[in-house]
Amino acid sequence: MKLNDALSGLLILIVGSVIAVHARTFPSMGQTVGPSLFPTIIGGGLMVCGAALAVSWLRRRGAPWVEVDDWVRRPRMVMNFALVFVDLVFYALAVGRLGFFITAVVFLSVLMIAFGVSRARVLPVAMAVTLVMHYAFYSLLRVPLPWGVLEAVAW
Amino acid sequence: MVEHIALAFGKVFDPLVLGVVLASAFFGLFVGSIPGLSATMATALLVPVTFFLPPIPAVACMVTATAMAIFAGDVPGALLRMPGTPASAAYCHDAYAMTQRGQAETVLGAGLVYSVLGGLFGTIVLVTAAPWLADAALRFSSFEYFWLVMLGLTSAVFVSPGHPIRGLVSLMLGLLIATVGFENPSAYPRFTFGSVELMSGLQLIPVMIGMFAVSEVTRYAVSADTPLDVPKQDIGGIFKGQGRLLRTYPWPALRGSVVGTLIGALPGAGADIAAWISYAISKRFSKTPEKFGTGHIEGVIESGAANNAALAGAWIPALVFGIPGDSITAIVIGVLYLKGMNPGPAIFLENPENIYAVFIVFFLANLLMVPLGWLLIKLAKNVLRVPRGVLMPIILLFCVVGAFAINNSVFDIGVMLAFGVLAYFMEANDFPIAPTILGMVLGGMLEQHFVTSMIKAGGHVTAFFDRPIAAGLGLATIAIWLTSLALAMRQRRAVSR
Repeated sequence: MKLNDALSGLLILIVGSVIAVHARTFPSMGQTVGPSLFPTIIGGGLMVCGAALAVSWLRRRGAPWVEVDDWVRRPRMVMNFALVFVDLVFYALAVGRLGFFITAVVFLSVLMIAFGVSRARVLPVAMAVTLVMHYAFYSLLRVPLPWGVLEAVAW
Repeated sequence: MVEHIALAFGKVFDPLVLGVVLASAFFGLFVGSIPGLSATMATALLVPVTFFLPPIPAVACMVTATAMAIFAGDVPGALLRMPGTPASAAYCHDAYAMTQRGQAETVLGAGLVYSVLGGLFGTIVLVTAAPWLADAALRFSSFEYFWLVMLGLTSAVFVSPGHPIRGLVSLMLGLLIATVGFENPSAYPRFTFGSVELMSGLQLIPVMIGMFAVSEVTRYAVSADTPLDVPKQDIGGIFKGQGRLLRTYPWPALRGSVVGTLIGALPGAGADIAAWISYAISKRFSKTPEKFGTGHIEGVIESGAANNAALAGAWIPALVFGIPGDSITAIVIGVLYLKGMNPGPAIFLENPENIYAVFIVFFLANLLMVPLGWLLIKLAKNVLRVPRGVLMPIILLFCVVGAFAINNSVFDIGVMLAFGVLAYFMEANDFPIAPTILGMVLGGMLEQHFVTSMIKAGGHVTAFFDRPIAAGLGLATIAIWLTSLALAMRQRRAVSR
């Protein structure tokens, strides 16, 4: 998704002003330079940049307000986009309970299927990768990857 | 000094370090040769691994992987006309045209030979310049450091290609991220919104992984994946004829190495910009500029040397001042702090053997590139055939394990996700990512040195120009701003006419 310069400039201007206004509420703490100075400068800088972008749009109008990428019109791509995030959230929520092995195999399989890897390959590849990752992180690097429901077979 | 060097050799020639170097070499070659996976991404993905390694192997792993990745980027550039990393983009057109004329061996061999030579040249400059600069830097006060950081941030915005305003927005965003939390001179919690996790600020690792890796997987997920059209012919002896090339083009090779090292050392500009600038210089001074772009080896030699030289050059300001020379060293600096090897001139006095060990690893990595690079070229057909539908889920799993493993906090996964989405939309709207990372790494330092200087000066801004070196750096910074403004004005006038 591509916003035109007027819209993105406006957005940056708004973000900048919110930051600058919020930064003014920081206490001065009786110092030469208080905690509010830097965020205020950053907010102000963003406002100036936002305004400059919006002005540059005034000079050459004509670009559509929002250019939507082609993939947005293709349901499979939209699903892939969403799936990347759903899969990450799934990992975060499930890894403690199900353990690394099951979570990682599901995590990999779902994405590989979505990315069009042939079905027969998905499970063996997912399992092999999970084993290698587990060996590298758990055994070599000593990262405490959770075992979850497989606690009984932990090594 | 001799005993420190001996100690350093002992540290490097240790089974763990050598094993890590070899493993990260393969990792770097692989990531670099897959189009869409960059050297910066390789570094970001390695951060969680380095987290669990002792300091020397941790640094060795990043040095080796990036050197290999920058070379490996040449391989798909020559075979598929798709640069493996942005640093190979400048001359990929020429390289591919040569492959089509049946000169794949020559151009791939040249890519390897001049990557090694450029890398070794950059390393020699790093080894000689860094201790000398560190000696001078010992006398630097907060005023000099403030201006150095300003100069770094300024060149990150104005040296990189693209619209400076967009670069500036990206930089501001990075500085803003750096203000989150209470780790500031006043220890006042800023932008924490009552969240305990945000009190200590946004962690570098999940942000990096999100911006450099998750965004890339997302981009792949929504792209129509077409299998790469890997050429079928076998690749023969790549070293044949390289001696003749070196005798024909000694100056471009040397000039590329020098320019690459200098641009790498310039804070904020890295291997990709070095390659573009070197390619342009090569064309400008060539006896046959008309051949550039049609499959001419000269530009490949010069900018192929430049991008690997830039890699080592970028470590000069990173080690001496803690100011990253490019986005790779921005990540490296984060790792150095995590490992207690805080960059700065003192590192050359306190732990010289650690620094010497880093230098030795640089030499080792560049020399190791000869056999491993040859192997990659031989196996390129098979490497490029690895389906990306399998690869991308694995990278995402690597990201999530990396972000999660360090603090075991779901919050970090959220941060990674949020910054992945942010980076995806930034790139879709032509906002560069590198200035954000630089701003994030340098924001705290900038504020710290500014506040210290202001307190020392009793609030008088003129004090920032009292010391000669500070004044020089300050004037240089201001000059870059003014020149860029003037150039922008002139361009605008030219457009409206």
